Amino acid sequence: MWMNNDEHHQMNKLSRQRIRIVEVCSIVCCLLFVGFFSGKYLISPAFSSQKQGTKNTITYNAIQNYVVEGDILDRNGSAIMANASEGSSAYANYPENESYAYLLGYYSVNSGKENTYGLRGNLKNYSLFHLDSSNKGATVQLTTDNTLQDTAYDLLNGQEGSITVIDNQTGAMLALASHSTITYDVNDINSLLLSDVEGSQYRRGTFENDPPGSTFKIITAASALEKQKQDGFDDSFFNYYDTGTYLPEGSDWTITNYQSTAYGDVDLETAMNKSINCYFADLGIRIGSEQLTSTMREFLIGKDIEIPFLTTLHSSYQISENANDELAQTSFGQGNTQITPVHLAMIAQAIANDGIMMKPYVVSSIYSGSTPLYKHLNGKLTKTTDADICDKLKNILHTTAEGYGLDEYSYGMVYAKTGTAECANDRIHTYMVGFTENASFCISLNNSDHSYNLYPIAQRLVSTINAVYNNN
Amino acid sequence: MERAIILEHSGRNDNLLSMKIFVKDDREQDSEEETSGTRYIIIPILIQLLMALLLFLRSRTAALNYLYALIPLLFATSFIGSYVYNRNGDMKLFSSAAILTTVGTALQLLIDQIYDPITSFSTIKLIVSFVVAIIFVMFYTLFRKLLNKSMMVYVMMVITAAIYTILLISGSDPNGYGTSAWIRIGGITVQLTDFTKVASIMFYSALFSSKTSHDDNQILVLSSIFFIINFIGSLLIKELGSFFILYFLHLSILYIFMNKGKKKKLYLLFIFFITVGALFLAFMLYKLILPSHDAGTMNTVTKALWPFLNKIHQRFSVTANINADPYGAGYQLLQGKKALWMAGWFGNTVNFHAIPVAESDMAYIALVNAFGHIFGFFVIFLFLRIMLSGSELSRKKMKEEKQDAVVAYASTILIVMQAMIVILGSCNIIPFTGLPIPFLSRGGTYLTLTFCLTGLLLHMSEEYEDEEEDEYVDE
Repeated sequence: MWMNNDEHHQMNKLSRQRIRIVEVCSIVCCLLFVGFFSGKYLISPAFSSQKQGTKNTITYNAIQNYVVEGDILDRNGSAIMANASEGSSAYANYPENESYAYLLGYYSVNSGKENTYGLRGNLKNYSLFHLDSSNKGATVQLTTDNTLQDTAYDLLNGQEGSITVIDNQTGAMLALASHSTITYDVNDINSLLLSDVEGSQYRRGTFENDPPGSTFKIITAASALEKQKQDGFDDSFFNYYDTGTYLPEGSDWTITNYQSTAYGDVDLETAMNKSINCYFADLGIRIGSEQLTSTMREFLIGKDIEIPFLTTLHSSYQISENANDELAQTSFGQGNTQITPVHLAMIAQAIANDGIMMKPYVVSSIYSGSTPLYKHLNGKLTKTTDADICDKLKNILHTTAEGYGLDEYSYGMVYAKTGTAECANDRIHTYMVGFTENASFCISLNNSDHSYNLYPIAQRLVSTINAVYNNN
Repeated sequence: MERAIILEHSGRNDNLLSMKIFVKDDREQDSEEETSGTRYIIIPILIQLLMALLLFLRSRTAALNYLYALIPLLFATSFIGSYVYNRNGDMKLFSSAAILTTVGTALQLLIDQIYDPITSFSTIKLIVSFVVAIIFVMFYTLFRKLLNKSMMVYVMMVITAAIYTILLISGSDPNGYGTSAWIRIGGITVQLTDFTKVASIMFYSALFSSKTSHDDNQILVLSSIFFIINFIGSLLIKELGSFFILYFLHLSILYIFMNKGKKKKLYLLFIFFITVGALFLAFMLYKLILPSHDAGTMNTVTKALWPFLNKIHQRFSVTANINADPYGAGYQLLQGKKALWMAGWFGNTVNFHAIPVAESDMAYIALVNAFGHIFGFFVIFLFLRIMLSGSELSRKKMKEEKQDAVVAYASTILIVMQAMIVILGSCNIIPFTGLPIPFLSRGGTYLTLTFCLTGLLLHMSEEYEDEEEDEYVDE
């Protein structure tokens, strides 16, 4: 039974090998543990919306009895939604409960499933899931102005559409009022969540992708001005004899002006003032699809634009090679171009700001008590065109705006262009895009017969914008 | 050691230049080793200071209380670290233990503020644990010689049986955990089952001592008797958690240190199948007795069996389906799972503190909940570091004295295995056992045991370096 030295040595060697096996097993177990836990609890929620939803649902259910939803304030510190108590959400007073409703949205968990919409949905990690010592969520300060937002919503007057106002220098969204096919009260999320009315569920302004109508003539004009500058053309480049109809070469679809009016000899400014379709169709063909699409890309048409915590704006266009009819239609705002009203307001902002399009934002800062969690830093999104081209466009758009009753004496320097888009199902979508010295705007009505319906809305909106800036 | 190498080298080559180069190289190496060694003292100290900051962000009161605990922690880290360093001890092991102690202390102080534990964390107990551990290590050197006596195997059996008997007669359950693992001595409660773990180390150490020369049959018979004593004792005091650890210790010690042979293989297979069979039987009995339990018609035998069967069934059924009994048996683990989801990288931000027994069984969950999964992974890494240090020490000791190798391995297993079993259980990966986590959980007796075992490992690593030096010079 007794082991000799060799056997003893061999036995010790075996024991050492077995300990090494235990070591390797320990390392493997620890790696498996870390891999499994980081995968399940950290990596999956970061990359899978389903897992993120699971995490949020678990969190919300665990805290719903004591969480106090954080306040949401406007840029002046006035309450938009506040006064939450344990287990019940924050409350918005009238008229903010409706004027902000589609911007704020909701966050709720029902039957183990989370429902998120708008800023409240996207800011849940701060206003609900980042609590201070008194269990209150973080305070969110928006860039909006309550006066402007309420006025904008009031101007919609229950019509389906949106009004966007953006600060020219910073890209801050001063107002984004939307009204859909129903009236949503942010204090009663079921009024939207449970609504089955067609078209009630989305925010106009950021999701409404329609042709831009004649507002696109601003882009065509900018493109033509760039072409003139690049190729050294004189102003005769912009001269055109209008007969009221225009048949692009190789096309069998005749383009007509509104009510087929013939304007005779016209230049760029007159064409913009009168919104002459035939002029811009011809101008587009003369500058060519390459030049036009280049300008469109500079204005980020066809590219996604992110508005932090709110949404991503989508837009698109399509001009086939050697398809003059498509190019002509695109040039005066029809064709296959689709763009959102907020993007149109950003185009106006870029022209107002010497060609610099600023990053759009609606959340200014987030604080938990006195601890800053987020602060927006102003930044340039892109350079769209040169300042001298913007100056020329401003001159043209100013005289155009005066034609809408936005005279300099009453409203200061205002620049604007209306648009009427023919959409699917014979729906008419009207726009007015413009800017003052301080802010840019886009008024968008989804079902409106004529753009002149927008004139009184624009006049009151510009007055309010001027008042807001004068008060500051 | 370096001097020996230099002299040997210069003697062979008789080349002064070569010797100078070696002297220079060795000085550089010494300097590098010094830097590398002191790093393992500086890192724990930095983490001790970092924890103060992290606690401040979570709870100012906890951070203030931590400052009091920081004084003994800094002293212990500096003095014990320097002592171990000067004696060429395993600095990685020291560093891991020091960091874990720091994290555990900070966690317990935070738990006092944001949870509702039965008792408060005591810095005095922490200091006492340090002191007891130091005394234990000092006396172990003397005690080690006794372990070479054959009778020590029987002495440890008797001591273990006596511990269970005392607990059976006068054991108490001060925290309401449903076991009788504590006794009250004066105003102090001591978890006596922790002493069975020390007795186990001593038992296996004596059993495998080269001086006692037990053959394979004796090893199997004696270890089985010891195993049965622990099993019956644990059943009687309803403390199956500790037995779970001793079960793994028993199997792994036999697997590693017993001679290769058919008997060993058959024995280990027998234990495996009997475990599976016992669990199967427990489930069958549970199903059989359940109707009479629900009807209230249990007889004396089934009444005695029911608590064990119910506990076993609960532990396994909850692991299989955590939502089966969300407000009963599954509540603790369900709350733990919520905490794991909410913890994120750096801890939850929603003030979620509904974790039952956060100060003990669920300490890992409480840690992750407070400081994030990053800290959890760090703790796992530190336990792995202890495992590797301890098992490497055991491997080295195998070359000299098997008895020391058994002590080193068993101490390591008792620390790391318990940590991993409780952590995995609290994360609902394996059936949950209500035991404390070494370094992290509250409990003076277990903290003292953890420090004793860690101290033992550090002490043995010091001895090894000395002996290695002697061996080298002898060559």
